[in-house]
Amino acid sequence: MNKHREALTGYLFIAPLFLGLAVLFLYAFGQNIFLSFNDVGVFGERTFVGLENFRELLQDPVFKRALGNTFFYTGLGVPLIVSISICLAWLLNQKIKGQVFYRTAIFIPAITLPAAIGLLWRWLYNSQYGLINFLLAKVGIEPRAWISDPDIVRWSILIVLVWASVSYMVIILLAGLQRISSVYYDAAQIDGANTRQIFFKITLPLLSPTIFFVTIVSMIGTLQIFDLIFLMIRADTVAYQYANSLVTYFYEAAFGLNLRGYGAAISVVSLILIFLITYVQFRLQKRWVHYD
Amino acid sequence: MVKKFLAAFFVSALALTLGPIAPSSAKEKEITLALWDEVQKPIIQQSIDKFNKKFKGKYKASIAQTPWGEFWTKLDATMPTRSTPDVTWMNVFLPKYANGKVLEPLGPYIKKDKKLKMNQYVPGRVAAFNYNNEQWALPKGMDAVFVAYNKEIFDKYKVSYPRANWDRKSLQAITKLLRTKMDAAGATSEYPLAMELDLQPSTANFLAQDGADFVTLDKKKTLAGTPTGIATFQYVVDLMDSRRMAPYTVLSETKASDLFISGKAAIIFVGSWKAKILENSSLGKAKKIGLVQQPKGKIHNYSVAGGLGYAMAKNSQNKAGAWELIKYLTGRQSMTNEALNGIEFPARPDAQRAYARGFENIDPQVILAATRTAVPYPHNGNPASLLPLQNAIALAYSGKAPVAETIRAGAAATQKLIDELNK
Repeated sequence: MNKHREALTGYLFIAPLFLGLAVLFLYAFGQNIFLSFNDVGVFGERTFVGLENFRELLQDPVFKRALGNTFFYTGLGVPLIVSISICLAWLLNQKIKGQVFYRTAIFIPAITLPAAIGLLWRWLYNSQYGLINFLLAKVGIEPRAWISDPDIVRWSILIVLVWASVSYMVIILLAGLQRISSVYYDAAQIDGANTRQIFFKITLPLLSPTIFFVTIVSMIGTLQIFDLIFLMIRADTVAYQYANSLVTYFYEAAFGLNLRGYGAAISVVSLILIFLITYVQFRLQKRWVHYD
Repeated sequence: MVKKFLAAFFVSALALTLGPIAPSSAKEKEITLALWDEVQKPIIQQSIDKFNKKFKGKYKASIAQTPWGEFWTKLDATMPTRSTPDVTWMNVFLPKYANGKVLEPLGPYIKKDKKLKMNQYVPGRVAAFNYNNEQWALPKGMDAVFVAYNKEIFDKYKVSYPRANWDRKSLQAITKLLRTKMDAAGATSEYPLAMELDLQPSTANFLAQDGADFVTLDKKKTLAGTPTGIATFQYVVDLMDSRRMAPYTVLSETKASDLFISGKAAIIFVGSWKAKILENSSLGKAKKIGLVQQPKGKIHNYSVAGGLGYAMAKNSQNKAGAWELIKYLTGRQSMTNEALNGIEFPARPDAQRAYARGFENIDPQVILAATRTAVPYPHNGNPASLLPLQNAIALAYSGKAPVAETIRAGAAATQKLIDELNK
């Protein structure tokens, strides 16, 4: 009887969170999957169409470009985020002058709203009046249309994506580094290992669980990239078409073109993609992640 | 015991947070007005404050402003629900909302209200919000497009100002001369001409002036893909390629009006909804802004004219209050105040005289003249159907694809969608 009461108390404690989760997430999640099999009008009128939305996606050139762009951001972004974060975390873990200042400076993007980041970089990138082109002109480099030239807009987004993501990952990796016992380093030094050997043979393997976590989180985040593209580039411009991702295309389809069912189908494809990639990552972790 | 108390406390806290979701039982019924323009908002707020004073204890109105880029997205999401704004601005997108049955027909309210006389509004503006023999909104105002030029830049380079009754040949000559002189002075980030990439203050006018309407008046065809239409687009692209107009990359990053006010563009095509921005700018206050009608195209130089109205949401929880608000905002006092502040050319003749009094630094007569000859803004009320053509225009202007092929393809795709809608 006491066990039942304890269980009931426990459920009551988690009830507020679970209710919120059920209403705002589970219900919306289920409804989204249901809508992907329907043609949904502007104001909610529905017609069941089965797999028609998914068949259209396979032939949609805009969807294919959005998918390609998403793989671009993830395929290049994640390795850059992880490798830069590891390097910065390792540097911040050394006993250097101004360590507190550097840690604070690197952490600032992590506590800045994505909207602020997007708007700030939108002005930095401005081809006529932005700071970046101004500084480049000072050293004789020709200015570029960073966010309005369709040929380079993806790279511009990638730079901001990496910049904005690194700081949060550095904090996590720094915590991971500080968990590594100094006993291993002392033993390695006694054995005559140099800095490079210590980093690759001791630090990285022991940091691998944290690296795995950072890789998963970065991958999921970049596969869902939306706010930077939406805030930095005008939606009715050519550059937006060349920079769009799965999530921005979902937004355009669902709310711009009022094709809610089609948009739901895009989000379902995105979900399956994220699930598959994450599943593969978890299966592969046995080969390189070393847990205590 | 402590655990039970804590559990009961958290559940109660959850119940309390649901309190605000319950409908208000306050005596004053709340009415929300949805709009997008941050320039107009403070002036309309003055009318809202007076409305609230007049109906104190009965109704309380407030403004919900959402920027243009997200306004329609938010409206689409909220209109089918109880969270809809009670009153909303409405424009050429009216058919979409009328067909979606999310607007309240105003005919019964007009019929019942003996004090309201529909002949107090400009007939053309009343007709603009009459769809399928039903009146869906009361008209607010009308807008038009004209040309503004920076006298400082013209004086600096000793180029004559544009004259009334000019044409595109004159525009070509003036912009060519300015470009030559700007380049000689090393002013590579200055441009003779700029325009907004939005259709209403730019492309829609050029097409109408050449007789190749973006959408015909009967809403059944687009003439943008005809040889005449393609020539119009080529004219714009040639201006950009020769740097007589700011290139697409610059216009897609910085608004033309911002370029103009900061002295980077000598001439802009601009809508009357930006007239107050020009009036209050430092350039305006220095009396350095001249206005002139648009240059004549193949057929005429008329502006396309849009205009807003106030519509009521079908799901409004306070239709009586919403109707009172619509009447008040389209009343003589509110419209006169808007005209005096230069934010709108009213759709009421008895308030229009005040418009000219709202300007000291720019010439409002040019704007008034543009409204007198304006043609209706070409739109079929279904933005999604026009998107392929709009995307094609963006691509053509960007220089990334050949103009003729791209516009033809976009026009054909849009025509297909229009035909499906008209089936």
